[in-house]
Amino acid sequence: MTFKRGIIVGLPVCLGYIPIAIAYGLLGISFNIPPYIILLLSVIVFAGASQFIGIGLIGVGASPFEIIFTTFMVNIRHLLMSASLEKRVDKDTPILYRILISFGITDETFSLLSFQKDEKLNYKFILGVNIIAYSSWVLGTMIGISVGNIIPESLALAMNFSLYAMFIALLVPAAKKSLKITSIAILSAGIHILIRFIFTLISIGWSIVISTIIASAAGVFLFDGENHNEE
Amino acid sequence: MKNELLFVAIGMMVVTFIPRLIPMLFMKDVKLPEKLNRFLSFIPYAILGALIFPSVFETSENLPAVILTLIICFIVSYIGLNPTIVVIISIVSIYLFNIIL
Repeated sequence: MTFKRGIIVGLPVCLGYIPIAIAYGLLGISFNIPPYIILLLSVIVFAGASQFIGIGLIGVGASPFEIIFTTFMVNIRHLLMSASLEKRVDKDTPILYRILISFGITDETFSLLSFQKDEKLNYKFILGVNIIAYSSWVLGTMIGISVGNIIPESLALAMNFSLYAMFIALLVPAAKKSLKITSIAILSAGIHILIRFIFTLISIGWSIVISTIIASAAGVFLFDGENHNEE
Repeated sequence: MKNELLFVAIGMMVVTFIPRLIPMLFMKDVKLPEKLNRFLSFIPYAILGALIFPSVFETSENLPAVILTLIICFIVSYIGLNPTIVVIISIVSIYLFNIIL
């Protein structure tokens, strides 16, 4: 298990990332976000869902604190992935490498690594997977930004819808498989709509945070017991 | 505005990196309570629900165009098409509906 093997094993992630990263770059441009910020997010944040949501929130004019807090909420699930992956990493992996490995944890790299047959994963192997994933994410973002700068205004307007199309494309297949997920998503949307129309003093960013917490907590109490393995 | 976005970017880095880093560095055999685990697993779906509605209706002033595009988007997502293709189909739909309606 070497670095090189990690790169080869990571190729599917790379193929999946490039189109999403291009879409991300395009979206950023359509929301009039400065290109260096769009790219910087891919370079230092490296978390697809958070970046899309972050751009969506910047687009609706949420405050910095709301955006950062929501990002935190979205990514808190990585705690679980990191904890799970930690058990597969060699105990004597140096701290510097642990830091690098943890930066590269995403839904995709985590899934890929979790499904490796070897019980213990060499850090060089994990780094190989992470580096191919990371490079394709950054490269895809650059392509998206470049393309976004040359598309006509009318098409750029239509691009506003694409963020929501992306969210729907992520949510609907998961909702199709689980009544729980469907109910939680609808409940959350319902609470958010209610807050926006009744408690107009609450800002949109906080409204999203409040709706998310209530709906997720309701999910825990309404659907007791059975496991669900969507992630 | 520019400084504010830079602050947002750095803040986002900090809050995305820390949850990934802490367990990798410090967690050996800590187990989260099952209920907390499930709460955390529901968060992405709840957030998506609130992000889509009602903001999606504000993407264009042409409400019929948005509704028709939404329906198409739901159908192609339901069939399980790749998100990239769903996004492309939706952009083309709203672009055309904006012209026709």
